[in-house]
Amino acid sequence: MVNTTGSYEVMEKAREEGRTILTEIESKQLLRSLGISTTEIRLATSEEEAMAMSREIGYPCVLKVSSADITHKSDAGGVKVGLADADQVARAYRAIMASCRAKFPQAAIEGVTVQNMARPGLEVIIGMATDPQFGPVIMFGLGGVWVEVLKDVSFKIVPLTKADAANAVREIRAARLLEGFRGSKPVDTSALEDILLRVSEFVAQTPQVKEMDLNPVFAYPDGAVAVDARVILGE
Amino acid sequence: MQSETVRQISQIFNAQSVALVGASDREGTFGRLFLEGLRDLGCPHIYPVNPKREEILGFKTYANLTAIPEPVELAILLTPPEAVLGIVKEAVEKKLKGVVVFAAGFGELSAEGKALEQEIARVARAGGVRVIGPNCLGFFSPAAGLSTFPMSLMEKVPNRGGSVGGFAQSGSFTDQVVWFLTKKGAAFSTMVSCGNECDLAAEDYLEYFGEDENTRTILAYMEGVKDGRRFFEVARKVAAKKPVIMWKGGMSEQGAKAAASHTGALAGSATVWNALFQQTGIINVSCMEQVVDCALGFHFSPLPRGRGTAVLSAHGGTGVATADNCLAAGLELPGLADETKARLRQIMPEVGTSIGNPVDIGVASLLNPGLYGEAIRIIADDPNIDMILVNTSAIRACEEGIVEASKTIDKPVAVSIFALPELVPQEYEYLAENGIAAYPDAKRAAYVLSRLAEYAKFKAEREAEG
Repeated sequence: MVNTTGSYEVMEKAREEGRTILTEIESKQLLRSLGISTTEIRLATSEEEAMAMSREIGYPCVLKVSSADITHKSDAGGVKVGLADADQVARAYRAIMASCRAKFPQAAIEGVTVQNMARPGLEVIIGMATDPQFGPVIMFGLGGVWVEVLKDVSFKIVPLTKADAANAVREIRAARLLEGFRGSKPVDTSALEDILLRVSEFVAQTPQVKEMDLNPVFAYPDGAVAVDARVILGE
Repeated sequence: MQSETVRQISQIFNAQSVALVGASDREGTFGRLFLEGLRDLGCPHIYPVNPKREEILGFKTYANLTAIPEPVELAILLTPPEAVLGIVKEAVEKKLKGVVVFAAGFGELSAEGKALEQEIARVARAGGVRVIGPNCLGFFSPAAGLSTFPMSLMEKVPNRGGSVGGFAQSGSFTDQVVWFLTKKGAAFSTMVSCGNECDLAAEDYLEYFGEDENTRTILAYMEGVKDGRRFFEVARKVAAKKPVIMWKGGMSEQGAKAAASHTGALAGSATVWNALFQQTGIINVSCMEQVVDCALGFHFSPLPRGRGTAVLSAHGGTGVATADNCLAAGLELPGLADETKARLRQIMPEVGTSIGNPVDIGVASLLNPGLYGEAIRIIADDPNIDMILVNTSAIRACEEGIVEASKTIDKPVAVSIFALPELVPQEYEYLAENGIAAYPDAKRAAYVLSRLAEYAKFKAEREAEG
């Protein structure tokens, strides 16, 4: 059984602030409360804080702008990856702030998130949407930018059985990529199925969630980690 | 445990006392056609209701439902929409089990119509009466002597009860499919037209047919669903027990949706319905031809153990093309076991035949039609073979051999007759009467066999999961 108590605190805070889109940091808190691995993430509100946090998290690390008003963080110049030390973190912080303020002068920016940089893995997407007829549905597919280009995804209606989760992973056209390709090891599909089942169980008892994107999830031979995430609540 | 809804639907489909509100003796009206239909099919207690008549076709006629002195279980309403609510109140007073509302002009037309049908459903439900429709064609329940399907009545579809049941959100579909399939040797438990589903809806009928012991194959045509969550739950249970063959209208995706997430943008209606088919095991088809073909295949055939198919043909060329059809449909054509080959060799002439898969029994079969039957029996014993697709010419003696052999084996046999149905309708009818699914094209036979194998696999997996 998935424990949903942690998720309610996160959603309640957004509700009180009149938001339907959870920030990345909130979305990841929510996922972690469900037992889903994410990258380590903290919110820094100053350059000094970002530097201190990066020392604790370790290098290489990633900085991303945190703002409910900026949905496409990369396009805003709000993402810097592969930062190797505290000086680079300081420069990245200033660059992100300058770029985002220039491109989105109206945006409320709460700060910058400092995250560990996940080791490379196969990028997949796990998502959830609300169908007007059947309610919550869950999606699995090739992730990252590939989801927009190839749309290689499979859907299942909630609640998922173990067989549904296994089929969701197996049914995509590129399923062979998961089995290991040109010498790469097969990815841990049971870890992906576990995330699908946790999301299914969570949304089955949480009708206030309208959509979710865990994109990308890095799939490894041992486990899987949500690298970016977005949770959207109903009106 | 049977749900209350299932019990109520069962009472309606097996009603023995029926009031026909809007009965008429005028030729060319539903009021007359249905009255004659109830009479001819053998409905035991018929009560025409028409305030302007004392007697119609020899039946004592009543001014309204409450004037009928005996208990009544079902009322069929042929009245205009504005009269329906009043009659439903009478039905509640008279303690009927259900009403069928034919009238259109409700929710499909206007917001006022929607409000009226909701009020009808509310009044009926509160009084223990269930509603089929409005804007529907009623139902066909031959064993109970009940039919309100115009085409079936005009074509004099016989009142032989059977094991095909179903529901459709299209009145014409229900009526036509009964007519077509009865012509092809199938018989029905009940077929029901859902209409606007102001009360009883597709998910209720699906649950009913899942529990109805007479129904072994379920057919459906759907466009939308009233309670999708419940439909999904019910479909999961029912399709794991019995084949549900569904033609779903409205499967073309409109353009991309505006959504705040990738998932939301990709979750189109057709995509989600396809997920439903995959998860529940519903056999999704996309045209009337496939509905009829699959209905016959599932009705007549046992479920296969696997997809290993043997092609048996008397004309080498079409045997090869049929093998292509089978492979394209996802069937497998395993090699025959040595023992099978040896036994076939004993019965087949050496010249003009070929013992492989396809098996070509050659034109000699025209002179010795018994070869078909003998070959089928031998092939059916082969452990590699799960199903047999037979190509035959429209020759009765060959068909007789196929019929006899098919009765002795427990593997599906589908026949493709090498002649168009309009040229030799009697040959198709002969096979249908003898419980064999016959198709005018091997491609269609291969399609049905592949759906049988797919469903058999799904059912076995579901049973293994427990």
